[in-house]
Amino acid sequence: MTERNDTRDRLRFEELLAFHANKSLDGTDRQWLADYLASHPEMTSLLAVEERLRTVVRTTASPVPEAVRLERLLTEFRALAHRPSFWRRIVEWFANAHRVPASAIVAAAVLLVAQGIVLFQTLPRQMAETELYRDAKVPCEDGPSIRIVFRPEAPQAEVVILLRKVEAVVSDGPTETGQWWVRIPKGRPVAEALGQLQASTLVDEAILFESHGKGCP
Amino acid sequence: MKDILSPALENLLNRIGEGDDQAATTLYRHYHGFIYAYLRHHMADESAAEEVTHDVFMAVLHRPNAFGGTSKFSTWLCGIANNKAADWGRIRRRRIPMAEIDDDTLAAIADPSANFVARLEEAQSAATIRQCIDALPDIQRDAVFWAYYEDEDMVSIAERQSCPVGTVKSRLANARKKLMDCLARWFGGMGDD
Repeated sequence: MTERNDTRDRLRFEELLAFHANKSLDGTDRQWLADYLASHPEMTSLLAVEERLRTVVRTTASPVPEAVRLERLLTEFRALAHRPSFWRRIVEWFANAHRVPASAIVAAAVLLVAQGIVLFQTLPRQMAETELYRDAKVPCEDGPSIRIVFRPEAPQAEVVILLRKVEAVVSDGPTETGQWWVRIPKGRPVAEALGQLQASTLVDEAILFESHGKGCP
Repeated sequence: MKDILSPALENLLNRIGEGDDQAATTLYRHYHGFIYAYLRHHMADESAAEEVTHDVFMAVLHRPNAFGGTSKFSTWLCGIANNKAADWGRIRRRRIPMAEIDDDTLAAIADPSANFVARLEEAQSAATIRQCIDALPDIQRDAVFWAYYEDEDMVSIAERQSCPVGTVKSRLANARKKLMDCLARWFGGMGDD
């Protein structure tokens, strides 16, 4: 029992030692530690080690003389203070542009003009092509439509074959929810096409909408 | 670390913003020792601490008004120091840590003899102690800095290290044991009175 108490006291002593050395212990711990040291004088050697460690840590200092460090810092600080701002540097660049060889300026100007011409010629054509598709709409033909949801794992090639087989014309989709809207051309029995779609293993769902012309306003 | 009080600090920072050498020197002289010592313990590398301390002050001199006044200036400096040290560590290879000592070994470390204490007092032992401190795990070195250099109490260190007070106490006790073990190896044994 006594041995266990000794071990516990020793542990407490070691844990408090750093704070005894830096004099931050509260009254209770400080008194306890003083009593412990009084009854265990051999522990003063550990206190001496602690003080030595603390002294070394507290005397941590740069080996480089302050004058050398300051000189370096202030030199860079002055350079920083005299460095022109971003806009100032742009203005200065233009101000010094006359020092650039004339041939380099001519070459840069030719390059700029050439780029401008290329852009001027290609851009309207690209825009015109875009315009073709911008207003494109699915022609509105009112009549029965079938809404199909294919199985997620259905191969695209087989989906295409199935749609061709029933002669379906895609009027919309696939939508974000995976729905396809198809119409069956006039003269082809819609019920038969619907039956084929519903019987297919590729299809999750095929529903007939009698008068829903998808794409009509 | 005693911070420069608010009105004087603002005045210094404003003058630094205007390129005042004297203000830069004053700020540098006041905080250099603390930041160098902090980085010396944080990085465990003398030359790295030197370079990163310089970088910290250059960052402050470059943008003195970046200090928002929401924390102590020394705390703000430590934040810059942590970032700069991390940048340094990313660019250069990390220090190779010494092998950890297990708990059994720690418990078996003998009490210091009179000879051991006497050798610790020798002038050249400071360099040896410094090397042994460098070999401590980062978290123990950090605790050593705040306890020994800044004289912080156990509650403050626990807040800094985001851990219970008991952990801080055992961390410092273990750090001391590791230091003694390391020093004993340097001195060639503790029991040889």
